[in-house]
Amino acid sequence: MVVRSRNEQLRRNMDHEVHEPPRGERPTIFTEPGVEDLPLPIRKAMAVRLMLENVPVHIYPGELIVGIGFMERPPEGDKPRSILAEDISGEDYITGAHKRVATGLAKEPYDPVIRGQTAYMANNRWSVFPHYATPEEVEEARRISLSENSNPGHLQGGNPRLVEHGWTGLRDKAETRMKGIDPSTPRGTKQATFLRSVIIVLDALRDFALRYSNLATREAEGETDPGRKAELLKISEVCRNIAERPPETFHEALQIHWLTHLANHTQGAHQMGRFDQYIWTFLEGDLEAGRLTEEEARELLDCLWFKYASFTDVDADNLQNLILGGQTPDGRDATNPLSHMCLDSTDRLGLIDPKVSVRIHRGTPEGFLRKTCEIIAKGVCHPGVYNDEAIVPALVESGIPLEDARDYTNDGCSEILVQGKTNPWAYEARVKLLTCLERVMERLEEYEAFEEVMAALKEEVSLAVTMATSTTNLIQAATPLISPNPLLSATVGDCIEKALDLTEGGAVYNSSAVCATGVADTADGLAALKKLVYEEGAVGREELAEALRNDFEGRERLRQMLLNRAPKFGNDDEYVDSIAAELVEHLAAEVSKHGNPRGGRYILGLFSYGMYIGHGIVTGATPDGRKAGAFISPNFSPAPGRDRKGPFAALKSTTRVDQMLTPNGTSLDLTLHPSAVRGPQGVEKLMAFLRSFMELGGMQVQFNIADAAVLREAQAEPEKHRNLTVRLWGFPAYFVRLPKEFQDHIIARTNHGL
Amino acid sequence: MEAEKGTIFDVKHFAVHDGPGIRTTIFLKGCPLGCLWCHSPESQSPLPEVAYYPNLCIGCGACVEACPNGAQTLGTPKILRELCTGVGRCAEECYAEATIMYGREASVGDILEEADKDRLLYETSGGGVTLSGGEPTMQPGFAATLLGALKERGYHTALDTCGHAEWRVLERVIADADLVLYDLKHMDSSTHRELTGVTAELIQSNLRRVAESGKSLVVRVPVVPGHNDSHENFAAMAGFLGGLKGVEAVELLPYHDLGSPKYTALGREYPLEGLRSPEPGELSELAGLLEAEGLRVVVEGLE
Repeated sequence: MVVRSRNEQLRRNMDHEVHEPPRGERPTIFTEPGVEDLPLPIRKAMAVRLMLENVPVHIYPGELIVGIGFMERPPEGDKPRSILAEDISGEDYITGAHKRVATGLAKEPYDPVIRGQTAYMANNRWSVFPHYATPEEVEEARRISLSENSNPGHLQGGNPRLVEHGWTGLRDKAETRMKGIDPSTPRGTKQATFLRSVIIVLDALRDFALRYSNLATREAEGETDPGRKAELLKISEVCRNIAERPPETFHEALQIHWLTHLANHTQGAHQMGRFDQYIWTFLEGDLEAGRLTEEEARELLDCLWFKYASFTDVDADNLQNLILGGQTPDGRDATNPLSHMCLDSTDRLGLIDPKVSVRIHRGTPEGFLRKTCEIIAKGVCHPGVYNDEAIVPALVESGIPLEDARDYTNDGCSEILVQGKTNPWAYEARVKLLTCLERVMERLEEYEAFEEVMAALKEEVSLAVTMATSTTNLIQAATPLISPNPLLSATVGDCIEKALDLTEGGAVYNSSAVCATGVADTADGLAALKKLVYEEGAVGREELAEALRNDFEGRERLRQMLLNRAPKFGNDDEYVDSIAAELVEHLAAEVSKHGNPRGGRYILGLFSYGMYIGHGIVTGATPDGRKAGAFISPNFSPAPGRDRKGPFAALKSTTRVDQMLTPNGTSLDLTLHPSAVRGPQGVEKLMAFLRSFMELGGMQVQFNIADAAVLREAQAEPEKHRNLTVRLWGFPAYFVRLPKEFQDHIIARTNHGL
Repeated sequence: MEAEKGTIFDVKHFAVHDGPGIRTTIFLKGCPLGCLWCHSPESQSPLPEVAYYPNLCIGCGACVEACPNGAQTLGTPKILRELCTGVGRCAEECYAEATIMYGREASVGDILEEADKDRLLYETSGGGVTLSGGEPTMQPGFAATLLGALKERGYHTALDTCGHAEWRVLERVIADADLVLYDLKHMDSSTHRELTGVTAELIQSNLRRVAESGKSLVVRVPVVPGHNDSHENFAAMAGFLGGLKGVEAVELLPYHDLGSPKYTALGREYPLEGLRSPEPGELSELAGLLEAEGLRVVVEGLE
């Protein structure tokens, strides 16, 4: 039982200090005179190099894939940062939030400029990353809340290109490209600088691997166990090979991926994309040549899985997503033996990292779908499920060629992008629909007919979209001036070919997204207005406006009427669903009017991430019967507890909204009671549900398998439920480690299938 | 006997325990039995009933104003049931849904509309529609018409019945059911009467006839500790069911007390206060007795 004992060892390793950031002063590249005169991209590349020279290297017992993380752990007792800190602090592009702050509803002061750009706030934990910008650059950036550590979130490295060409092959590409450049022109100088920055980071990665190779050699010398000695020598050989040439074996591909992954983590890229696609050729080659047995391959894969898992404690929302299955670019089923092995490792090890998702299409093999459902039914809260039948056409509609559309992946979270070719800015621009509605409510007395309300809301939405995109454009335009990204530019297509940094439009696809929150709640509010105010006259406009201003003080009966006597999104009711559809149609049309500084267009996504708490806090009472400050719907899902007709009805409501309009993606988050998916029959039923989801054309569905009673018990007695897993906005997390607001939100969601 | 309308008290979408696949279950109101462990007390009376859930009440008093009979109060008891005639004005006015009516009229068309919404799910899961209750044969015309109409739509149909009906009624209702889920509670007739209010002979003879009719048949047995879970009873059941031809499976449904709050809401006492659910070991033992007679046994929650 070699595998089990190794896995036991690896599991024990996780309990120790796996991430070892260097302590003390933050390093700097300004140690010699003249450095400040170098171009910014070169200095940034030098910082990457210095980091990779400085970070500790360590090999833990039993490891076959090596490389320890250097992300800092949060201080003891600190809340996971990305779960609360960034998302409550109100990135309010819409001035309506002023009022909330004034009335004390918002917990955090509202800053009308850009404070709280979440992607940027997140990075203050990278004190490991050296200083590289001049004081002038830092000051200039600070004015729009950027810093040396600023990277847009949800980026991706070009994983397939990395394993295909290796660091050396990519370096060759850069050298070759350099030859075609005329350095006498300003453009040529800039291009040459960029390519030099790429070469510096690729060399730094090579040297980083050599540090591990040398360490493994040294440790092998002192190792008395002959088995382990051989393993260490193998590790040393693998690390040396990837430093010198492109990877040739499964082991080498995993190792070059992992070391690059560690570095990419510091530059805003955390996801693995279609891992089973770009790694499979290596495994297939090894198996065919008899270099590796299936058992040995499984062992290596488990070793890598434990590596991902070493990030779980550092940050639950660490964006280490990979996606399996789906279609090949030429439209065949892409499922291969590695797709199954990945699911098996996730199932066998019971880890919540890596975060696994699955793509399904009409040709997805029965066995693969079954395995997916078996794992979902166990309640570990992955895989999330993506539907090619909806996503591929939506991407094509947005202008992406079919072959690339079929090669989509989720990013580190739930947004959709073309693997290895997109710089997405997938979530920075946000529109809070409920705030738009709130502003319309302030003038409710003026509107004689429901159509006027709708028209006013659309105007607000248009304004919000303009503000969100222009604010994000400001940041996008400023990013290359403080934080060029040579590391990701080295792998993402076609930065080297274009000789252009990722941050300036080097990627093949340069879209940006507007993410809208609160579709369900806003549609609920509009349906209540339409039915109870304008159709039935059950409540007057002034009366309602007054009640909303006073947060329903003394008007609880009215609030209950709004809640329970008007249709709610998520119940397969056309009355309210069609309002949601109209709203999204308008949003999509508005979003598509805007472009970004990298030459790309804006596309729409319906995601809330964890903002369903924060956006609720800054929003006053709304006509759906929601009280001021109360949480809102997660992602593109019904408002918590309002979907009363089962998960299929919720699914049908969401698919009444045209999914072709949301190429950035949407996600329906459902909670199923464990009894609904129990046993082989439960798995069959889940499969049937997913087939229905596919036929109806839903984009993405994520399941929580949870019993509200157990969750309440875990809230009261966390020590008894340490491993209880729930799904947040696109990833599984341990329930007892969540802040209470997020625990409450999950408990409030409808438990389907009791 | 045709009837286009009936009284139902619930429609459950995405039902996963009432027959094959994912189903829509229609609950018809009214039952000839009154089982001590009944988890749907609101199903028993054929008439609409008012229920009150104090945890949802906002104390607005709209129900008091609305009631033409003076049956609603803001005191204790909340509802003076002897004055209540079941007109339901209180529930209409109760926006908080603390006071609700169990039981509403529904037409065959209404129900087809609800069922049609789940058509795709029936196709992908091999599911369909189940009539449950209460006891559907208490509204035989409605149940039969409904099953016929559902079958005409091409949906798989199931009937969940306690079996306590005249054979000619039951025979007529099951005609358009693809599957019969037949409840069996106790083999001893006088005990049966104590537990459910009716004797067992009719139920047993009907069950034999359903089995002989060649209908697809699943027998469902609640397991209620101290009431029907004796080895003696299960041995007798095993003997009886083992001798029938068409029993595809026996489902054991472990007793639970989740229905208890509904008794309070209806102003009734819960008859089995404090009774525990059966242990898994006990369930497997009882399943073993049935399996010994060659029966296929499924224990809910133990797969």
